[in-house]
Amino acid sequence: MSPHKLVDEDKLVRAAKRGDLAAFNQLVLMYQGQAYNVAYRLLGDPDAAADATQDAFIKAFRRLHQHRGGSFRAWLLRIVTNTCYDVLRKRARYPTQSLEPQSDDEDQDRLPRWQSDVESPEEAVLRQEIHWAVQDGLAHLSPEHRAVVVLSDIEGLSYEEIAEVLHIPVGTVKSRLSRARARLRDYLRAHYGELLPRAYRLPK
Amino acid sequence: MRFRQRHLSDEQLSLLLDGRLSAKERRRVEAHLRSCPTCRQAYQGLRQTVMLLRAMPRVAAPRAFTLSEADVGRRPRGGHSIAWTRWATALVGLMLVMALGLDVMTRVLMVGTPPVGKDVLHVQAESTAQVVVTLESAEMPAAKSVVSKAAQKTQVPTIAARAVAPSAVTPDSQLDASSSPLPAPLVQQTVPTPMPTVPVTPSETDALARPWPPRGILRLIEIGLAFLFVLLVILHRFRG
Repeated sequence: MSPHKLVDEDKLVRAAKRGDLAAFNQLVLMYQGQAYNVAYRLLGDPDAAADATQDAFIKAFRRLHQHRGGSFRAWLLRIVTNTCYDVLRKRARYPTQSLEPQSDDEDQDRLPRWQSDVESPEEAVLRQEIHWAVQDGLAHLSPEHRAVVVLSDIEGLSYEEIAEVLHIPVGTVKSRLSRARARLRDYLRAHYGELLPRAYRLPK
Repeated sequence: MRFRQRHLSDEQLSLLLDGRLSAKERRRVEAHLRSCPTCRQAYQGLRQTVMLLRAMPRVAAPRAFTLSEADVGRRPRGGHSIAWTRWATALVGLMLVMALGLDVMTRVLMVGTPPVGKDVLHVQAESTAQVVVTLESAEMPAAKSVVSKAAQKTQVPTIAARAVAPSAVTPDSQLDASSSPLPAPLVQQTVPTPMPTVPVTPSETDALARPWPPRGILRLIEIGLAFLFVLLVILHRFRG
């Protein structure tokens, strides 16, 4: 993020704190993509992810006074992950939905167009299967492990920022992340053993 | 490997992957990896898992999540809502204090009122209850309190007049006061016409007949106002 953008963000946060909804909506537009992706990977369901994202932004606006400096993104993602944890807890109590992706078609739609243009149909199918496998693997992690893996390896946050989002010490981030990655590795090996060797040969 | 037979932990491998080991630790871990196929395999698996995660596609947000004024509980063209609740809270608070003040005042003046006076007043209380109830349906708390106070003032002389009359006939029974034909019709007449039928100048007898408006109604108004006040304070908290 460029320094210029950071200054802008600070200004927007300050204006939003004074009740300026338009300023807050600019922040929404800046972070809604990331917020939605985090929610989608944590919940594994596009509709639930959209609802959680919307809820999180409403909560964020109402709790702006609780944001005392620091990274706005980390603060916002904390609200997003907490909202998702609530959804998951409710689901555990009233199990009606699975965490797995709902259908192949839906994921197919989300593939960047250039990929399907360049790739052979076989490669596209293989890539699709891998995304499925990883999402399935994520769904079989505990919510805490899933969150740390999503924030680190899908969203690319630093250990320090993850510590801020999840409100845990950096040391805990390190150990939790390594355990989560190892569990995911073992799960994928056990359930998608024949798929993986081909997956690793796919062009990047 | 000669120095350290134990395998590397997943945390060490994970930190190596992220480049978060110190230079010294990194050299040691890498040396171990070169000589230990088991750890090498574990590391490869971890590395590939992270690569798969990094290759996960971004999903497009299905819509914009920008908020409208209504989403955050404001009226469209808002900005006034906070000021509005503030004024309402102040007004209700003031009314509550006035009601409590009235309560205390009547309580103080009640002391020393003879029991007979109370009995007659009880009859009167029922009739004004009707007045207050009809006023309540208008749903104007401010107007209500003002009117009930007005009622209090105009009724005082008539009560005072009658407070003395029955006391001479029946000193201590409740039934007589309410069933005696004399006060009941009088009450019916005095309620619609606020002007007293019996001209009595406000004097010491006034103090005897003071407890207006009746306790129950006053208590009801107090509880209602207190409830409204708390509600407004909570509402204000949430928005502020």
